[in-house]
Formats: sequence, C-alpha cells, structure tokens
Amino acid sequence: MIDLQSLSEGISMLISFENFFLMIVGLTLGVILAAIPGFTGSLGIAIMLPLTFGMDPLPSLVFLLSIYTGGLYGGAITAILLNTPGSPAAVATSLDGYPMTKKGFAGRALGVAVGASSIGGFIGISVLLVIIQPLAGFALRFGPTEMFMVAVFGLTIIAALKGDSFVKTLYAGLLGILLGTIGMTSSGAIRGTFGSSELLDGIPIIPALIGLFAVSELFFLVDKGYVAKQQINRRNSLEVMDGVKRAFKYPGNILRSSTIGVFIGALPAAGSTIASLVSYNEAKRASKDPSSFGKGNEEGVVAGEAANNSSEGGALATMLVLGIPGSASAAMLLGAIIMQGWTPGPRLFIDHSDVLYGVIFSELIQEILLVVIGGAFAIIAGRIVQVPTRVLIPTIIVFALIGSFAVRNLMFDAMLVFLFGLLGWYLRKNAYPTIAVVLGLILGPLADTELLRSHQLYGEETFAMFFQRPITLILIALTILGGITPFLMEKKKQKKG
Amino acid sequence: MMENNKTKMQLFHRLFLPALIFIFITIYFLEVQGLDDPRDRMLITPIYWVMAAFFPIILFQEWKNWKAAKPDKKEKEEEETESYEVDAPLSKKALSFMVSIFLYLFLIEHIGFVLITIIFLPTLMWLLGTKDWKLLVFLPIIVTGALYVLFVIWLEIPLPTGILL
Repeated sequence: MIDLQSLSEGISMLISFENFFLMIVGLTLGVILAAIPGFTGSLGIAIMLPLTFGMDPLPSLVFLLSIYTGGLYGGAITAILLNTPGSPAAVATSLDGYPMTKKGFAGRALGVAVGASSIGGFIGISVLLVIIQPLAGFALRFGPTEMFMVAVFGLTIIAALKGDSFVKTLYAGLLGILLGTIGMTSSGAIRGTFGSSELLDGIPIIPALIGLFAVSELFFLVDKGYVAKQQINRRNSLEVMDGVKRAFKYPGNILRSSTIGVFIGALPAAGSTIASLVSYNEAKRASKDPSSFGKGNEEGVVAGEAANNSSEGGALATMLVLGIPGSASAAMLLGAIIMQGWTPGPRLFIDHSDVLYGVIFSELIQEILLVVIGGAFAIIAGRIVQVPTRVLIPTIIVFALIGSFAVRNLMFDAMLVFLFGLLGWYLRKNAYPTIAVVLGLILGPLADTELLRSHQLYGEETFAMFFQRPITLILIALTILGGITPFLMEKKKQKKG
Repeated sequence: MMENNKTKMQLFHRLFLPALIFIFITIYFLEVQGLDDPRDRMLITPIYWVMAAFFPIILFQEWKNWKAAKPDKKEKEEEETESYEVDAPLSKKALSFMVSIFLYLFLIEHIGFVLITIIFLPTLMWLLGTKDWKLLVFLPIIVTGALYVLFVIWLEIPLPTGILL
C-alpha cells in the first residue's frame, strides 16, 4: 500500500532545519489564531498563503499544514476555558471541557485535549499514509442521498441531548435547521434574508457560534466574580501534564473517535465539525455513564478532540488523491497546491508522490510537536480563568466583536454576535439547549443542499432512491438507532431507578 | 399581590420565547411558500409543520410546569435542572452590559474603533466593579493597541476609523 521508495525520498527531503522551523512557527501560529474567537485554522492558512508564494512545494505545504494542525487543537483552548469554541470543530469539546473548567479542572481538560488531539491526529495521519487511495475511493461513492443522510445522522445528536424537555430540545434544533436554510439557494432563490445582502451566503456560523456560546455565557458570568472558583496557578503545569497522560487512558474512545474522524473527514463537505459531534455522540452512547456527559466528563473532550484532529487525515486523503477538499482548510491547501503549478486530481499523487509522502510524514512529526507547543500554550492560557470577570468580560467581548467583524469585514457580523448572544441567553434562561440550535445551523445547510441535489439527480424517484442505495440504507438504520437509543436508555434507567 | 405579578411574569417568560420563535418561523414559512421552485422549500415545509405541532405541546408543558412550581419547590427545581441560569433574574449589571454592547456597536462606525474602544472598555470595567485606576487606564490602552496591531498592522484588516479618518 505504501510506496517505500517515494516515502524514503520524501523523508530525506523533509529533514532540514528550515522545515522543522516552519513546523514550529506554523503550529504556534495555528494554535494562537484558532484560540482567538472568530478565527479559525483556515483563516490562519488564508492569511499565510501569500507568504508561501516564493517557497518550494514541500516547505510551503509543511508550513500551511502546520497551521492547520495547530488550528485544529487551538479552537479547544477557549472552548474549554471560556465556553467559546475558537472554531466550529471545537463545539463538541466545549460540551464537557467548559464544565470541567467550572469544576476547577481547567488544566486537566486542556491537557486531555492536547493529548487526545495529538494521538487522534497521529492515528489519522497514519491511516492516511497506509490507506490513502482505498479510503478516498470509498468516499467518492457518496452521492447526495448519502450526504443528506450523513447530515440527518448528525442531527440525531439532538435527540441525545439532555434538556428540560425533549420537545423543547427538538424545537430548538429545528429552529437551528431553519436558520441554517436562510440565504440564497443553489437554484438562486433568496430565502429569509429580509432584504439583507449580508445574509445572502446564509447566517455566518462564526458570529452565531460566538453569540450563542460565548456572549450568552458572558451575560450570565457578569454577576459572578470569577469563571471558576479554583486555584490553578501553581499546579496548572502539572495538571496539564496529568491531563495529557489521562488521554491515554481511553484507547477505545480514541480509536473509535479517530476512525470516525478519518472517515467523516474524507467525506466532502462533512469535515472536522461533524466528525467531532458524531464522535462525541458515539462516545456518550458507548459510555457506562452517559448521564455524566455534558457535566464535565473528560471522555467527551477526548472524543471531540481525537475526532477533529484525525479528520485532517481523511480530509487530506480526498484532497490529495481526488482533488476534492473535505473542508475549508483543505480547500485552501488545494489552492496552495495549484499555486505551485500542480494539477489536483488522481495524477497528483502519482506525479509528486515523493513530495507528498514527505508532507504526510511531516504531519506525524507535527502531531508529536503539538504536545509540546499546545501543552505550553495550555499552561499559559489556563491562567485566564483566574482573572476577575470584571476585567475578563470587557476584554473578551471586544475581542469577540472585533474578531467576528474581521472575518468578513462587516459590522453586520458583530451585530449578529450580539443578537445571537441575546438569543442564546434567552434560550438558556428558558432551559432550551443552545447546542441544539448550533447543530441545526451547521447541519441544516448541508441537509438542504444535498436534498436539493438528490432531487436534481433523481427527480420524482428521490424518495425511493433513499431505500435503494446500500450506504444510504445503512445510514438510515444508524439514524433510527441513534434516534431511539436515548429513549431506550432512559427507559432502562427509569426501570432500574 | 407582588408575588402574584411575579409568577404571572414567570408564565409570560415561559410562553413568550416559544411564541416568538413560532411567529418568526411562520413569517419565514409564508415567505418561502412564495418561491417559484418547490424544491427550495422541500426541507423547510416539513420542518415548519413539525414545529407547528410542537408549539401547543410546549405551551401546555410550560403552563403545566408553571402551575406545578410552587415557591417552596423553587430551590428543589433549580437543583434538578442543574443549571444556574434558569429563572435567574436579569440583573442591573447584565442589563447595563447589554446596553453598553449595543451602544458600542452603534457608535463604532461613527466614532471609530480606537476612540470608542478606549472609552468603552474602562466604562464597562467600571460598571462591572473595577475600581483600580491603573487597570482602568492601562488595560484599555493595551487591549486596544494589541487589537490594532493584530488586525490593522499585522493582518491588514481595516477597522472602522470614524471621525479619525
């Protein structure tokens, strides 16, 4: 499966001071940028892309991929410390990471996140190295009906969310889906923009995320002195290291989450966010104590981080072999490849296998370096929770508003942050889970687009096609299972209780 | 009498949010029905009807929960939800925080990022209880400067200049 000659050539090209320096700079940049709410690893790649114009293909790709790798972990830092996912992929991490911070285990949560990210990423890249071609070939068989079912399957997570009432949770999730369908459709129709040109591309996910998670949290934190009542300064470095070790305690969870991550990462348009959410849900289902999820169970952090980092391997598989970007970051990396004068597609790997093997091998080194760089940054960042809220809140709100503004250079987006903050605050005050709205917002547009594509392909036969395609049938079965399992578990619990 | 008004307000809050959401989705649904291509409402129509079916159920549930919730049960109820935010009153601090964000966003394009942030940060810090003058003076300068360097100089993203232009 591996072309050993090309691999050894790639490794010999990779080993240089320049490439190691670029890896360290790229990882650091990626971690820092993704930790700023409103920024993502893909934005980091976009910003740094022009810097690679004059570079050779190998150092250029190594540098950009290092930003990507650092960015996948960086989003977890603010997700854990401030309930503010630095990137959409860190949403699942915040579900248990932030409750851990509130309980006084911020350092441990950050350590678990960096450990799981590194191991997950290492597994993802190892898989990429070994089964790059067969995996990408399988993912190519996913048509619109399969992708629609992937989105619906992702939405079953809503059913598993523990809220005040199941109907209220679903109501919030369905609202999220409807909000996700706002904007211009692929057929050119305009829906729900109320005349606003800023909404033609749909509701931007970053301001919505920052508003629903971070700003709503700030509205509640304003009456509290500190984010968490704990002393972490002296022992934070030890806690982070302990957390890294603890990530190794869940080999089953890591393996399952990484497998899901690689697979979903390979699916075009699915990406790390869906991978981490699906893995989180599966970890919860497989857990002996699913009720502790959402309340600070480190297994939730492990699942989310292992999956979103391993998804990089899957996304690179479809990108390098087929020229299909599985995520926004992969699309920008593909841009970097085109910028080098290379043509994406099946011939890319055959023509440049030595360089690309070198790039993939560099990823393995990056995952090891991530523990050191990410861990060091976690130790510094962990002190944030000890800053009084009277100082922390004004600083965060300015960063959140300006960060959201900077993504599209629109003050409209900063206003959206405020509006979604109010919505999130009011939802939470009435015991509606905001995560359900977020899930709908992320998966709604995917479901909508794929349903439309299905109809364009199969016309009146669309409904029948869902029951004629084997992969779709498997996904339907998994969706039904995913939908009814929480009920069955609840009934079982009630019987026991 | 006061207690009675308070509980009535609680019922209003419980019913107001689902009603507000329902009004919003109904407007959206009606707008979408006017689209020429039926495929553009393929996902929206069934979701709307499911939500429409949930709406009375939620109203009934909320009314039932409100009726069942007695003042002496409040503490127990809070424990059960395990969430500090449910039924938390809107404090003066939170309200002034919300108003100040709105004013900041409203004024930023007129006054400019640098000036409004230098004014907004110490004002908000003071409203939230910061009394240390060194913090009130230096932190806004550091944060504004850091944001300016990061966005304007390093990333070359122009921030609103307002009257400084």
